Amino acid sequence: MNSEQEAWDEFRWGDEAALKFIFNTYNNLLFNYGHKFTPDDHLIEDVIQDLFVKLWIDREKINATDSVKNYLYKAFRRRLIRKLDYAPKIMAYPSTEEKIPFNIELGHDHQMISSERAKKIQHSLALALEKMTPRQREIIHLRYYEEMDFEEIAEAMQLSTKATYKLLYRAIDTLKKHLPRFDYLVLLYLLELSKR
Amino acid sequence: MNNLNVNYGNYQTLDFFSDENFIQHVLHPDEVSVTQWAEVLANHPGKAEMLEEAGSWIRMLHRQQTYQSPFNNEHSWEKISGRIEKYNYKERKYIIPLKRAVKWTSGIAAMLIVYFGLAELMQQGKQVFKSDYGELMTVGFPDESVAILNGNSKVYYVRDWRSDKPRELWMEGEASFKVKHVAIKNRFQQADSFRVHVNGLELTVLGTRFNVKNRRGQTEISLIEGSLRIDRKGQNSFSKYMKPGDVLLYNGRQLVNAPIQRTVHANQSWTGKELVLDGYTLGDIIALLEDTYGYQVKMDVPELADKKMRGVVPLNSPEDVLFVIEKVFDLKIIKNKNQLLITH
Repeated sequence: MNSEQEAWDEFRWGDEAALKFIFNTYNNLLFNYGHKFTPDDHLIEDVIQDLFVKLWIDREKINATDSVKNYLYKAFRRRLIRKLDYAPKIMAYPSTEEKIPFNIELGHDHQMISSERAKKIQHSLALALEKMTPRQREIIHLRYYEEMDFEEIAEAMQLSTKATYKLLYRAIDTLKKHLPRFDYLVLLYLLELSKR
Repeated sequence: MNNLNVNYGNYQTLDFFSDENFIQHVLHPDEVSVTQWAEVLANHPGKAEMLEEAGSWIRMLHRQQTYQSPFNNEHSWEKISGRIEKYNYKERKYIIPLKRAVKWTSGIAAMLIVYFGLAELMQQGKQVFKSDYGELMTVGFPDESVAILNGNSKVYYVRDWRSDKPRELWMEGEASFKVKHVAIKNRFQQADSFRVHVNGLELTVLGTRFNVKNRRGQTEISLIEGSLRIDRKGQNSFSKYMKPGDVLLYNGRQLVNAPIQRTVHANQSWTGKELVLDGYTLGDIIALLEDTYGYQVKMDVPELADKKMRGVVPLNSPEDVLFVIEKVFDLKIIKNKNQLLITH
């Protein structure tokens, strides 16, 4: 059992300091995740605050968990989506969750020897990411940034494992369709070299 | 690692990009993975660009800048802590006492439900009421009819939930019935009738009052008011209607008229703790002492058994009867526990 899980159990037994520890560990990570959905910092802050107050109120009903991170991401995402979702809560209207945006801002790869090439790769990847649906971008983010495995992604996004595989497959497929062909990239690269 | 079986020769950039081992290697390289992917590269030198590109994608996605909350962490927590404090106060003051109250009341409610449920269940099935020697017992039935049992008597009935059946009961000994009339006027149904089974007879009545005495194989039925039909089913079957004031005797085979002096009033006088002796012989009284009070009587003066008596004897205790017998016939009654010896 790691220290996070210990803190989780202590919090469930009514230790406020343990909840504070969890808050300090995750506040920024949740904020970062929330920022991908919306630029509205106040809204993200509100959702996090509500989430932690609600955790405290429900502390006796909350179960032990294998992954505090997963629990928080799932609960946070659900609350945030509910706030961002304007669709009336009637069966006839499907949720607009599909349409809620998700933005990825790529980092830099300093390991590339040629910064020119790195820039090109980054540019084409960014373009391809833009062709993805918001949920495809989200799954890519959870996979490569949060390093979640399929089960964790399924839980956080409230999907079946099957639907999760499908979503990731579609995301990769979108990349395939919209990335410039590799040999073309190499050609560009060679051209760049020859110009110098 | 299972990648030894993988044919990287067919891999394209996207295949490397989605390869679990490769992702792990790019993000968290260790000695084993470095050696292993160097080997892959050595085996497939043509894949160098692809590997580089896929690795680059993974790093770019992973190294997104973490967005920093514009709010102070400590300050944010204080806001949460403040709300928690407020909630804790409310919880101590209202929610916990309320929860406790709900818990208690629901506990009590559950107990009451179980209690009444059990009480109701225990009413199901065969209900038996039995009086001891010399004891008068009043039995109320679910339909509010009433029976008074004389000493050493028994009535029972089978209760179920259905009400569309005649009210039916069985008896032994002596009992006086007061049956509640439940039928709606002019709409007589079988379900409204009340039926008493005694000594092979069926007494069917509507609302009425009657007395049944069933001792030593003889059944004496006295109708006080209302109407009553006596049925015997099977062999030697018969059916007979009684009028108020009738007293009929059934000896196990047929109905005979009771001695004329036996009045309906006399036959149910016991319910008022009196014994009207009109029409009774000394022998009848002795039988009554045995049947209702449980005495074993030894009669040393058999010639007096047919002597008739008149008058009313209070019946608060059997001693009253013994006293009257001693005085009227100038006899001596020697009592030893429940044994009586009647002698000169």
